[in-house]
Amino acid sequence: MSSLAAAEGSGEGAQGGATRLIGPEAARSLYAHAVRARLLSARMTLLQHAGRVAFHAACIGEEVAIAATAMALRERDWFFPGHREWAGALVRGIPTVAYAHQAFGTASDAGKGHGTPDHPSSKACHVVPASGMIGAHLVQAVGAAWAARMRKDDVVTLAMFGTSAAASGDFHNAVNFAGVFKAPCVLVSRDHRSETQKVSLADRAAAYGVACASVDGADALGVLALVRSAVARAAEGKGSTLVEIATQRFDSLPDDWGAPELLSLAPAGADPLARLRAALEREGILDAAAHGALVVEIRAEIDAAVAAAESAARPSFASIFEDVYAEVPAHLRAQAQEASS
Amino acid sequence: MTVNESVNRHAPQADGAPRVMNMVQAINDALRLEMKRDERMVVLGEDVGRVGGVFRVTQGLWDEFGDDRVIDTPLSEGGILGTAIGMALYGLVPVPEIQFADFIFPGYDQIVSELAKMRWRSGGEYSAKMVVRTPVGGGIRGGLYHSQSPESLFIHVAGLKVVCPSNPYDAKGLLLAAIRDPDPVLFFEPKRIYRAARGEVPEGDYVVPLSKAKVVREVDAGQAGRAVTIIAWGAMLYEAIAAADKAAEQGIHCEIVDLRTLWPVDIDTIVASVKKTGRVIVVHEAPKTCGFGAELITLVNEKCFLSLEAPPVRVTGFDTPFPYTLEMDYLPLAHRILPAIVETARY
Repeated sequence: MSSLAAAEGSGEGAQGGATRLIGPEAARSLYAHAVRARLLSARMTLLQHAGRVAFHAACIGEEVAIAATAMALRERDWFFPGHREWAGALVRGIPTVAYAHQAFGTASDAGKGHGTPDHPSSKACHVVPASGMIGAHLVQAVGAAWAARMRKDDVVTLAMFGTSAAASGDFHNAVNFAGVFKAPCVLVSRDHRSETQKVSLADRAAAYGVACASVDGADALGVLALVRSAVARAAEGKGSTLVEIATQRFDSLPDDWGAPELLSLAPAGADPLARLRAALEREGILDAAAHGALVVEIRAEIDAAVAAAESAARPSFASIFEDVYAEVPAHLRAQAQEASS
Repeated sequence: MTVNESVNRHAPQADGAPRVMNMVQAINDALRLEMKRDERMVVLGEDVGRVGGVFRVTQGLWDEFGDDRVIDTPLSEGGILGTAIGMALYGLVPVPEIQFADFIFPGYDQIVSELAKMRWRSGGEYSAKMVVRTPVGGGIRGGLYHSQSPESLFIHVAGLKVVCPSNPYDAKGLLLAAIRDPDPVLFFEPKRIYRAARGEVPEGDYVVPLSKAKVVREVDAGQAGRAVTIIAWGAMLYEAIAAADKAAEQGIHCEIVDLRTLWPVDIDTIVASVKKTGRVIVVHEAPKTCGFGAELITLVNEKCFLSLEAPPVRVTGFDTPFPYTLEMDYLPLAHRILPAIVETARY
């Protein structure tokens, strides 16, 4: 717990500031990831309202915590997102256009249109496809971590989830197995305490003999520092950590995803994205001109990705039958043939 | 219980000399052989390590391979299967044991929603190949929570393969094939014949290919006119054989198909047999309604309806929970199969 305790409650900018913590380049990158997630989530929300995609798991207000968490992983580590942590998959290297193809279920989607929006995955990026079953991925992340330890690989797995998943049986299984087997796994919760969760994760973690640390989700650099120390602790063989990030989701958004206030939502000082921007500006890492250019660039990237996905071909009929098994078995070949004849 | 010679006769295709084993020994032999051959393979489950499993199927593995590869887990099937999926995603080859098939349901979501769909939902990038071993069936005075045969609940889930051996030779060869298969396999071990079914098993490496049924008793052309095809698997195969022996005394000949792999099913072998005999009976322990017999008979109807001389028949467990006291009344034993054979033959 000692390395975690040092990071816990470190406050705005993890005391030493962004420059000292991750360097100016990574700090700008963190902010860019968070802006991309904010703008993309706003755009996807509008696309969902317009009926152009079936589903979107909005993360506005939580994207800073999600991006900082994903950035805390090393390249070789594995990321197990829930469906609302798709922004973490983008941080891990899945391109915006690949996200869009997945969301629109096109022929260019790596998942061949099999999954609903916000479930991008990539083996190259070590991003496992999110499940529709809330909490199911937590115990899998523990298993993968356990496997990495058995193989003596310096790999940590990280699963992210929302408060509701902490009520699932799989949460219990994950934390129990993680505690028993000291798996190099970090379980990160976006926590907005509710009536259905009376006991803090820290109290529950203690009961399983698993370390736990809490951090304010509005403090991006604090999140990054804390999750990074939890990853380091796992990599050192000290076991799993539950990280509890207190977050808040903003549900009331401007109708126009180009509106400037989207990047600084009311009330003033409450928006983690605006707070991160202010911290970077204070340190001279970001100025108004660079910020303007960044936003223009990301908007164009999102526009291009959505346009590409909306105009892309649908997956082939045959793709329904692919990847059920390693090879398409006779009964599925027969069903495909019968339906297309 | 006597084991029919024809079930255990096999071609000498493996590299070692055969020795007589029971099912438990044959499965144990397969696990040990594959753990030696593939260092990625791990065994995990409740008491599979020091104790060697409740039926002693994993006995000795912990001593030989250590607790990194033979893992005693907490009692939680969802935890066992969920962590096994994570291990498989990472590249290990887990062979989890679920102590009784009846206990698989707390982990059913991990099988149905996760294991079966991992390849599909990632467009083929990820997969979670593994073999889930679990004892099935009644006849050991296990009552309603240690006797069920839930194969249909897994056959109905796209992405899974389902295997159920009837003898030691097949058990070893099918298990080795299942572990090496790229897809997740449910490996149902008929616990009633764990020790009763004995037969010659080669020492070395061999596989019995998945999705290949075996005709364990064949009728010749001269008998085909008044013959009946019986489809069975696992422990009920021996009941089918016993009933067929009795039927033969009445001049009725049975062709008996041991499915071995339930899904994907070897429908070609079934259809070839039914075209020959014109009559078909499916025997299984599971409840009748929506049991695998329903699917098999539908497939027969679709593929060779015009060859049928009599309505297809199911001899199965009842649509009730599995009874403790009256388990031998519940099971579709030979005395219940025989009248079905006679009636079908005389239709």
